[in-house]
Amino acid sequence: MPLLEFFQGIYTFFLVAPAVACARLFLIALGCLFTYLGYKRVLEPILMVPLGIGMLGVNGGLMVYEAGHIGTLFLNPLVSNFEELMQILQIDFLQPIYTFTFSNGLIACLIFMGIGAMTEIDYLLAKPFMSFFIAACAELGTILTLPIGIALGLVPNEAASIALVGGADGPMVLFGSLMMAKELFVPITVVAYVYLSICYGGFPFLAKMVPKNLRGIEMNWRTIPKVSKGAKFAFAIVACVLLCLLFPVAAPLFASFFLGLALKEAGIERYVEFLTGPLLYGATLFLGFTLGALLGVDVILNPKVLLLLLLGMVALVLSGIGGLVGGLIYSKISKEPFNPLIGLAGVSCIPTTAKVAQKCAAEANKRAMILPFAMGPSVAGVVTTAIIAGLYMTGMPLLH
Amino acid sequence: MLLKFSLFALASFALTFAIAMLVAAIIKLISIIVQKRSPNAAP
Repeated sequence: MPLLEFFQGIYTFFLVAPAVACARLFLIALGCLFTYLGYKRVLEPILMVPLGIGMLGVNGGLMVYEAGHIGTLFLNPLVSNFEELMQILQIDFLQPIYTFTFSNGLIACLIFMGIGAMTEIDYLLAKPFMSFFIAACAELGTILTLPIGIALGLVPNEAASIALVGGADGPMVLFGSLMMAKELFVPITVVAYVYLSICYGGFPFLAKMVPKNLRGIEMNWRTIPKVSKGAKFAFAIVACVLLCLLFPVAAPLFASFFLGLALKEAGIERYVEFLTGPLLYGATLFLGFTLGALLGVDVILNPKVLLLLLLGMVALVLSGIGGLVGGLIYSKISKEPFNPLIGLAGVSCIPTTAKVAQKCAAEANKRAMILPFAMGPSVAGVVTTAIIAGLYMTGMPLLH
Repeated sequence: MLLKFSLFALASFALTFAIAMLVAAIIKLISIIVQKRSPNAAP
């Protein structure tokens, strides 16, 4: 047996077209980069380190099996035949995770339960109209990217899925793309998570669109009214019923989010500890690792990936601009002093965008404390993104 | 097709605004009801 055939990860480089071999090398390098940037905290480490390792593993670990086919022992997302699936479930170690938690959106729901259980809705309930007004404005990118994507050549379902990146909510993008454009859900979700990771560095440039005197407006957070636990619990129940009635297609996400929220407000500590600890971080770990393992050569050689990279950026930037415009409009109509940078927080991405808004306000005026006000639109952004996702998932099949 | 989906996107924006304001109104209503039921309760 030739020595090279013994080390099949290397041998398989010579069995495929040069372009494919180069793409494999590129993905291994990209996996290393993601892992390093996660390690350095430039990108979100809890997602990027497992994702990078998954990419390294799947692109390095190619082997020759049965009748000269090349594949890995990670997973096969394309298998549809029942008998073949049963066989692969017993061989590929990530196949059970993919089949039982990705294909049906369960992993996004598990993460949403955790997010619900750690979300503070005090500021949303204290200032509901302001929060929802700004959050709705910050969906501008989610709205405009749909026609832009179609104009650039995507089919409507794909354009709607990448448009959801404008909502800056990773699990929502995953769930939406699984429902609407399953064949592109891997690159769309990876694009979403990479861009969400770099929000913290990119959004301060957008904030500079607002004049410095407005960025430094001080707000008195002591005037925010207190909200009782009963009101928060009642909100979780009523909002869940209403949104599930309106959008049954997104009901698993709504139910998961409000379950987490209701358990937190009901004070069931054991559940809250489980949801915000082992469940949330366990789901995030396997989400990152499995997404990385799905990033094979076929994904990167898809010509639509470049378009998705562009549209993801467009969606997030437009949403940021929409949020700032919403903040400027609200500062004009508000009777109290209002810092328009709070608009940035409407691009949900809890709590990153709220922190960015606070950071930019503090740069303009050290005494400007807007974080408590910014948390309201940040949480409302999750709800408005879920509403748009529900509208898209319901509307797309009807329009076709 | 582009026009159809542009209109759909616009309609989605309007609907999102409407539903968001409805949820905000429900929150206000809940706050009022909870406050009325237990006016002396500590938040």
